[in-house]
Amino acid sequence: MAGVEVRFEDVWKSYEAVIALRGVTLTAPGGRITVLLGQSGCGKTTLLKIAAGLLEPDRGRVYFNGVDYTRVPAERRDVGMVFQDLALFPHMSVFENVAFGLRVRGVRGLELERRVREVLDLVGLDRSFYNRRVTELSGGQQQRVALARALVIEPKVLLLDEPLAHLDYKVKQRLLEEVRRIQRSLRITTIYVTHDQLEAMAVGDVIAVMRDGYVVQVGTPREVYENPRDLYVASFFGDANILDSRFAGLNSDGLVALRFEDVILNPNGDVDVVYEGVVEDIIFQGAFVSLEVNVINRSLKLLVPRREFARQGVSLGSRVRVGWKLSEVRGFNSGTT
Amino acid sequence: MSSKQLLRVYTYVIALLLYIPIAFMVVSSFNSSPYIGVWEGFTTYWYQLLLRDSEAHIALVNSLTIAIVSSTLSVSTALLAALQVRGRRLTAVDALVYPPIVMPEVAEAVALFLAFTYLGVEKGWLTVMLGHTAFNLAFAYVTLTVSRVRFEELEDAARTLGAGRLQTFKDIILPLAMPGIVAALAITFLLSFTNFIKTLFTTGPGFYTLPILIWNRARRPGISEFASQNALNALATLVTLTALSIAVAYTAYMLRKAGR
Repeated sequence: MAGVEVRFEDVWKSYEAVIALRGVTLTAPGGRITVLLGQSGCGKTTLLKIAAGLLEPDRGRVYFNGVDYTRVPAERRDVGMVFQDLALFPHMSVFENVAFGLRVRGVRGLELERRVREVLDLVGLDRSFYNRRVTELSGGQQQRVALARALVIEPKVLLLDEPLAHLDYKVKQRLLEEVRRIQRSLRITTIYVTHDQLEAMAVGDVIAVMRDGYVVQVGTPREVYENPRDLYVASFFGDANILDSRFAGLNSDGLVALRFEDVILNPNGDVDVVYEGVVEDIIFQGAFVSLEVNVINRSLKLLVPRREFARQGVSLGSRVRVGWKLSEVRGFNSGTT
Repeated sequence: MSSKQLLRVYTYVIALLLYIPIAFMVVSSFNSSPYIGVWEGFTTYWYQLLLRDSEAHIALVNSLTIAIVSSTLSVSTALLAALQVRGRRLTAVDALVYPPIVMPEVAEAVALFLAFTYLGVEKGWLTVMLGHTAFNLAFAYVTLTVSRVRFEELEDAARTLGAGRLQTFKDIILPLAMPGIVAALAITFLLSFTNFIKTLFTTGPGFYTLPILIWNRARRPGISEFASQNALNALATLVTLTALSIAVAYTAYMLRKAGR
């Protein structure tokens, strides 16, 4: 059943005065994880609910493997969805929550038990959880139940709406890995909504960056990171210095983006542009150290590996040189979109 | 005296003020004298009298049927309304439903009286029941809508899992709304069972409920033995006990729910 391709074609949707989607065309390839990434209000959850059949688009079509699903109601779509607030049924046990979708489909008895057990094994919940009430579980455990409940019906498509938003860092890291592992083993087409770029990079095969109801760029995490289409994508997906073009070393007007890690501290040759400046701020981030250097009244940020930082012996107020290769400077045609 | 002790005394005073008249009524119902304030010995005579008081039996049946029909009707209608009105926002429905809760009851009663008279409906069982239901609806709606917000995502979840509207209602909404439904039923039943003013204004010749019967007898105490003061106390005691037992049953139900 794996590998259903989901295609949105010119999808529009508005709520009363607000236009949530302004003509979205996007393909979520079969068997892969497509991440819808954007700030709140960009329309990503609306698009997900349209994929689920919980909302109908005002205009446009939704295709599952080329079949028009635009008017197919949610209950006949065979999609598994994990909701932002999980929406577990509070009056049911873990087992009953997961069994619900199967019971609706008329699965009973041993077959029901076997399939519920298999999927709970898959998400890592053992027998001791079966009769627990979902309200007694921790956030991470509830998350697993929600995922199991969505997966047990063997859906064509798995839809995840900010599934890890409320979890703390460590639990989130672990569950991200598990989502990837489970998705790989089932080869199920997945659409994953998040506002968190680190989550998007960790989990996405394809990333669709959304803004104000548009999809502004689609690509693999690496493509989008290395070739952001505009300033917005450059500064939202990963961090970048936004500089004027001539300062950055180009012979044109406008604004350009330069990744923090592409600015080199005290370079020895091998760069095209060099400035002198004063270190104004140092933030220790673990593997990297973030520096802020004042260059001709401009604040330039750079990211230096911890060992490199230690070797250079830079401290607050140090005079340093900073430089970069022109090939790392990202220019854009229009500047803003 | 510490403020804590003061608070305790204050609480007892309130409790006394609330319950002394009721206790007095209950004690009097066992007094063998037909007159209030003259203790002539313990008797269950007034309760035996009630057993052959056919007017009281009719009134009891009327009160119960009105309360059962009105609470069922108002709660089921309010449930449908609550399920239709979605989201956190206050809607026109809320704006329409809330005022009856704060309106003086006598104004509601007069309004019902005028409406039924204008429409030329013959007053009796039906008008009393409709009058109760019209206002019970407001209380039922308010009780039921407390929890409506969280249902939406659960309904969406049930739909993506393949459940149709009917099944979602049966398996998800109804079980979760049950405490609210029981609360609304209890409240509207008691409002209806104990109602006096609206009933008085909307009833017609020959139809009476327990509160109406008690009132009719209380203003003409000498008219028969059934109307003597301590017979009335016995009747009122039974009405009170019925209402209290429903309240107790409701509390027990809620405690059991909370304890699970």
